[in-house]
Amino acid sequence: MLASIIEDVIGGVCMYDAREKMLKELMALEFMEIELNLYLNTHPYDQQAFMIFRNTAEQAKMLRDNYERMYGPITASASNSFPWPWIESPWPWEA
Amino acid sequence: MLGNNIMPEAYENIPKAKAETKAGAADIYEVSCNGFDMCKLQYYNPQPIIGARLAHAYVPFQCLNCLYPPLLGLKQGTIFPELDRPYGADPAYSYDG
Repeated sequence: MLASIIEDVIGGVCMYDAREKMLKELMALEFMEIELNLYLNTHPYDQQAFMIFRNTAEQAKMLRDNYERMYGPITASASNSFPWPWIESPWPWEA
Repeated sequence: MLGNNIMPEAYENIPKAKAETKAGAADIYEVSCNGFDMCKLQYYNPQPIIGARLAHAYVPFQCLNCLYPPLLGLKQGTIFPELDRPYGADPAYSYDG
C-alpha cells in the first residue's frame, strides 16, 4: 500500500497509471448509468433497476468529485478555480 | 407467463382450457410447430412467445437479470449479459462471422 503511494508520488508514469485507472472506472460507472437510464425508459416501474441506478449514479458522482479534486476538471463546466484549469488537464487523446 | 402481460390478445387463438396452464400452452405450441426445428429459429430466446398470431412482428420484453460489473460492461458495450452478442460469435447470425 505504502509502496504504491510512494510510486504514485515519485514516478510520473505510475501516477499517470493511477489517474488512468480512476478515469476508466469513472467511465465504466457512467456507462452503467446510461445503460440503466435506457432500461428504465422502457421499464419505469422496475424498482430494483431504479435502486441500482440510484446506487450507480451516487457512486459515479462520488468518484467524479474525487477525480476532479485530485486531477482537475473533467468537463469545462466543472472548472471552478482560477487561473482557468481546463487547459491543464490532458486532452481526450492523451488520457 | 411473460407474454401474457405484453400481448393479451396473443392468446385469442388458443382454446381457453388448454392455454390456462403453461404445459397446456406449450403443448399447443409443440403441435402447431410440428415439423419445424424451432430451436433453430430462436437463437437467444429460450422461452418462445406462445400463441403469437401469424404475420405479426414481436419483440420479447426484456427483464432484469444479473448485470455485468461496470468495467466488464464498458468493455463489452452493454451491462446486460443477455444483450452481449458480439458480431460473429454466433455463426448463424452473421454472414462472414
